[in-house]
Amino acid sequence: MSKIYDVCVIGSGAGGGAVAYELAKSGFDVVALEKGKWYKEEDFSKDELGVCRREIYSPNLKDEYHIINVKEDGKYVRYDGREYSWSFWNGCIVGGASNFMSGYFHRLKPNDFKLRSVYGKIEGANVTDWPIRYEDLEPYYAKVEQVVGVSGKVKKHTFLEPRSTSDFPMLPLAENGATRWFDVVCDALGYEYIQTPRAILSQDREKRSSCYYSNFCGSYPCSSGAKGSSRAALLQPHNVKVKTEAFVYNLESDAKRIKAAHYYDRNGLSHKIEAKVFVLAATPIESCRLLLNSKNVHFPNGLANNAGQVGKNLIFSAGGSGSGTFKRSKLSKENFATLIQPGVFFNRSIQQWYEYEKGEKRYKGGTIDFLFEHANIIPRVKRQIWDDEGNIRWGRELQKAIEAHVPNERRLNFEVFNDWLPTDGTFVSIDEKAKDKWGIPVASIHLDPHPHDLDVGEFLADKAVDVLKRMGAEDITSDISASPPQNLVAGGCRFGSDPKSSVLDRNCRSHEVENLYVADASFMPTGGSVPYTWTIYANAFRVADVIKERL
Amino acid sequence: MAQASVEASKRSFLKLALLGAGVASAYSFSWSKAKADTFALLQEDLFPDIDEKLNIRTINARSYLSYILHHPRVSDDDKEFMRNGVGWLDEEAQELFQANYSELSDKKRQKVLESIAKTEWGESFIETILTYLFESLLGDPVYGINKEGVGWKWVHHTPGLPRPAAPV
Repeated sequence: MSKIYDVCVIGSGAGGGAVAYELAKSGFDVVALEKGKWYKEEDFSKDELGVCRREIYSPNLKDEYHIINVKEDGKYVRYDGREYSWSFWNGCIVGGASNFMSGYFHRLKPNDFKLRSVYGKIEGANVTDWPIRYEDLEPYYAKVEQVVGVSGKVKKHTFLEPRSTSDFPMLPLAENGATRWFDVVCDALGYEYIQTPRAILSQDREKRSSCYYSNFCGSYPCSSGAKGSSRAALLQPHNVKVKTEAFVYNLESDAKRIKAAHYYDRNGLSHKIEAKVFVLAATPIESCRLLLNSKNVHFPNGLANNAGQVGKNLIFSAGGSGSGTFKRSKLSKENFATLIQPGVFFNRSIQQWYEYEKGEKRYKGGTIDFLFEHANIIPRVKRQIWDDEGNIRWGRELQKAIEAHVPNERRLNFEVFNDWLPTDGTFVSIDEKAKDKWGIPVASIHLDPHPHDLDVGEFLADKAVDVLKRMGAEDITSDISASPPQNLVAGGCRFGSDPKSSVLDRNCRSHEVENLYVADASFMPTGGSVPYTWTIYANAFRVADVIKERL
Repeated sequence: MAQASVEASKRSFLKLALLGAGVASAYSFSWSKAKADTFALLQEDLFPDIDEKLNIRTINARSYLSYILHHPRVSDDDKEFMRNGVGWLDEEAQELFQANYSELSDKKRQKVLESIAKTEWGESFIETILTYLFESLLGDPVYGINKEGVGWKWVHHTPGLPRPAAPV
């Protein structure tokens, strides 16, 4: 008789990792199935070629890819991701994308849970209130601060969300002295700023070391364990059972329950896992893909999809980014030395316009994070290929430009986060003709963003540009676009009270399949104007508590 | 149709050819030492010697490009584009000066580059070759490139730690 686990978790990122950890710690028999491999801190390096340019921690697009359909002039134009080096992979190893994040952590705020009630309907968008409130999630945000480890300093500002604890468990990370220039400018402008909370340890913990200020944080897995990936913070220190190189391709069910998860191992052999409860957390796009590929007589449109909602209302983060450049020629020797000090962070955010008024209307706004440009050298040098008129250059002219600029400047970037409004035109389906190396139909992502997203993004970007100008930055750029970021994806299995317009109930349990829960970001009906990972972790801990009660 | 495709974009042209649009002047690639030598000469033209310590040879750009052209994680599209691009470079050289690129003087080779840089495919081709050249200039020496970090020193860059133990 085959073993039946208490819980089978599919995916080991922020959502899956948190559920697996919490339930294993509580004594339940848990197994997590992870498509990728298990790496440890000693396996990691700051190899720009391997990690960032060959993307060794993401699938080879020849083997696993996405089809992306973009609405252009009223029609979808199909792009095969293999031909355009375009995908929504964000790291497929134990811990998933949480290994590669920069760990800029912000909570959602109370009004994010009721965007429809507070700000009203927006034509063409499927904005809806959440079936839970901020108060339901707050204790879990606090738990993430402790368990995953969030460093920072709480500062009162207009849109500070209510907190059950007075401050973060660890002091902020060390900062570059240039933050003082930022602070002075913001004070003069009357702009409220905060030190950006980070899911990075500023002090040692048992089995995890503090940040060593490598200068290469985002995009790289962490060599010290300081970054709060689910691997380093939860799974590894607590020995949670994870079957690696296990690609789940089908969830077998009857009319009401999942009976087994079928997966291929590294040799392409099929196995199955039976469990009382299944928790899906494979990233929104892949979770939807698995459900849609798990059709059977009871669920002809895909598992848990008799209402036709799986894959719908996929969201990303709207916004964009910009930058300003500080040059040696315009700074004192001392100030330039301060500016280029490597390793220490910039860590500033402004949420003053999390809500704003324009005309007589009240709008939901967003967050602006300020951070130094990534230290990877190849993009910084490559930028000099283009002159100021946008013409390509090479040879000695190019070399002179590199010598003049690269060692003598540093860029300060800003990133704008605002709500990507859910629309009918942005969703995930399956492309039956396009199959991966296992012969399984790949996800087909359809993109049709709402124009309102750009208006809000531009409003916030203007504020950021203002700050950079006052700081004395030059060559200021701003790029707010509808381009969907691959590392900020949510929705597709949104939760709600109405089974006709949602996939999950308020506890992230499927309306249609009684032992299926979804714990990645796909539960989110709206994204808020912040990076998602803190909310994913918090909600996953909440769902774990629900499952504990049930078991 | 063929001429329009050639002028517009070589990448799109490749895709059309693959889809069987039947474009007449599809370039038939065959790799040879001559082509490899043209690549190496192109790299020198795009990134002339800085001094005896920093040049195409000390960063091992030629071998690195060969590694890239066979790397499983570099898209077939990029590889095909680069391989065919060197042929189109010769076509342009023939058009302008009735000789292959490698047979031309320094000045004439620059003229060829200036001519292709005015086209979408040519700009993309130069950018692509430069991109991989920068990888050999600035990637970790464990890849057999950027000898003793000469590229890093040139731009005053300090690499992150830990450094890789082996290439991928």
